[in-house]
Amino acid sequence: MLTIKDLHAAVDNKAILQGLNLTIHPGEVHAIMGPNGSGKSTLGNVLAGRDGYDISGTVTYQHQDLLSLAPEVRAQAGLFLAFQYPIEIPGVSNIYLLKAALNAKRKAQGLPEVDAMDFLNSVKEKIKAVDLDQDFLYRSVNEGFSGGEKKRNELLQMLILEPSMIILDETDSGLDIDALKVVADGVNSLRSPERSFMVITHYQRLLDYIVPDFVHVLANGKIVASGGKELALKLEAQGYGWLDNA
Amino acid sequence: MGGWIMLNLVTHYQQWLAQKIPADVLSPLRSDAMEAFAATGFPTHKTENWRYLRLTGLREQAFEVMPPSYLDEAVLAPLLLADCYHIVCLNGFLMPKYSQLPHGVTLNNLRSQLTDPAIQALIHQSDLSSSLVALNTALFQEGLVIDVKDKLDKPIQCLFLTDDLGAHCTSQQRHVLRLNVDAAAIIIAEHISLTEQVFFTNSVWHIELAERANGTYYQLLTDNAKAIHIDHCLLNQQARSVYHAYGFLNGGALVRTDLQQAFLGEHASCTVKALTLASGQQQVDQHVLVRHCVPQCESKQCFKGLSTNQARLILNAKVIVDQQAQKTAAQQQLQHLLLSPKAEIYSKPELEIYANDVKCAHGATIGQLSDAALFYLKSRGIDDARAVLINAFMQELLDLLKWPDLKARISSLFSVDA
Ligand SMILES: Nc1ncnc2c1ncn2[C@@H]1O[C@H](COP(=O)(O)OP(=O)(O)OP(=O)(O)O)[C@@H](O)[C@H]1O
Ligand SMILES: [Mg+2]
Repeated sequence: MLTIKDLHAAVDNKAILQGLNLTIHPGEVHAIMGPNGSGKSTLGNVLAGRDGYDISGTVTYQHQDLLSLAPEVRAQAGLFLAFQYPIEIPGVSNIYLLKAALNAKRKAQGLPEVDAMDFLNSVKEKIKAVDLDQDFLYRSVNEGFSGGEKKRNELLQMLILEPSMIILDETDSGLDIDALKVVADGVNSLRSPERSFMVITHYQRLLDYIVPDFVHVLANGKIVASGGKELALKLEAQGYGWLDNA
Repeated sequence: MGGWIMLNLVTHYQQWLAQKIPADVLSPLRSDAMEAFAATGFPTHKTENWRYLRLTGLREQAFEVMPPSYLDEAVLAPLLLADCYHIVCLNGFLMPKYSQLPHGVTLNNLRSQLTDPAIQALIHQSDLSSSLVALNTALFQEGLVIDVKDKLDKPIQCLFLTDDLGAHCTSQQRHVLRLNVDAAAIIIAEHISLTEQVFFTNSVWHIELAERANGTYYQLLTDNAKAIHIDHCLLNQQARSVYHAYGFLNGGALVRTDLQQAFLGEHASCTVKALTLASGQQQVDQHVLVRHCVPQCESKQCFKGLSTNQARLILNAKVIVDQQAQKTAAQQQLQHLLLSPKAEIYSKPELEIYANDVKCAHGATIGQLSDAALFYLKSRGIDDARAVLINAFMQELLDLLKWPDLKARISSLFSVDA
């Protein structure tokens, strides 16, 4: 699905990612943990195509050179980043964005535009799943949403776009316990042998709900430790300090 | 050299006044006005209130008097809005044949009304210290006098067309719009070029709202890319009157609009909203002055301006609250988007408050499209993220156009190359 080799990323000569390697196969869930400022969001941004980074290394996504693709093309090819801090876009309604995003993906796949009625029905179904009121569809994207509502809105987009490679950047942060269940249920409902996840989180408790195949620790721009789901438990108990000595 | 050209042009217009403008009751005022214009000529960058507008295009060419012309019905038909009354002017001349109005409205040619003392009083309000108003006062010949006595059931679309016979000519127009006590009207004033050539329209409007009158005035300036368009509007509002001015400015090489408003009676309100797109080499300059002379009135202003390519957009929005105008509520919001590195925006909100018991607020922003928002949209697969954001910025004001065919026409003019 996704193969990252020797990935470096810098901003204004400040190195952030420093030789990162990671392979994600179809159907796998990889959790990424790591101290604040270690480069987790940067990894998500670089994969999604945000500009402003000096990048070297290679990333192959579904046999394509991911780094050569424009961000919108990556999205149309099924890559999805749920933002740590979703952006407010005044004047663009949520429903407009959802529909335009879905149609852009369908167009790239050579499919016709979605039928307006079918779309509306499916959106109404899925907005219930993330436990948001229907009014949110007609509000401007994320404008005035609470922190938790923004995260749910990211999930709604994910549920509608049904991406192949999903990167969740701290989608659990700032959520109450019920919301955590909502996130987990949303993710679990999409788990399939053809779909992969990169779940960036600080908290082991999310991984009780979304059980990962692998856990990686990102520190100083590199993967410094990898393991199974027990690694998250160890981090929860011992923090990151022991890694420095390793 | 520049001075010589200017003098020459002033002489050119002076000769007009002497030879082409027939003597009428206004002759003494006209010669004062011409004298005032001759004293300063066209404004320069040294003229306060005109400093950012480069009027070279106006100062360096002589325009002839715009002649009447003939209008083909087939040309007109697609421009007429359904479900509206119509007034059609071509090259500044009223086309009675195409004008169609209900009983509650009377329409006269200004020339036939010059002996009316009320009309004379309005014309004497012309501020001759503004050289373009002075020029108009000296030279205007044609104009509309629209009197609304009832609440109208449909808007009046006023079409101002200029055709090839108007090329390299100027039309100096003077119009009067009066809404009687309790009358209500929506006016859609639309300027459309039927020529690709340069022309110079200099119009002055007097708008008078009697007590409890309710007026909405859409100003749609969509002239060709060479046109020069100057428009002054003097608006007076009596007690409990309500006025909405909605401007959509796009098109023209050089556009200058002035709205000078005054509240003369209490509990009146005035809302001004404008969407302006300056592109190419365009210069668009808007000045709005709202004056709270009496207590208990409310004014609201919302401007959205976009400047792209090498265009220059100028906005000066001023609210004056006189000392006796207690309990005034005034709001100003100016938002601008700078879309290219060579585009320019000069924006100035001004609140001058001399009363102490007032609620006033203003804010102004000049920004660029947000990179974060662009990336967010792209990361969702949106191909034309730039256009989506630009449209989102404009949408609130485009939504004021409640007529689907008009909205489609204007929206298409406001599309920016992404
Ligand atoms: N555009 C930028 N300009 C300067 N520094 C940046 C920029 N983007 C990221 N950084 C820096 O790079 C480092 C990594 O940031 P990043 O957001 O990837 O961390 P993170 O692992 O997601 O942290 P957190 O757990 O707090 O979300 C930080 O020190 C951050 O300040
Ligand atoms: Mg982060």
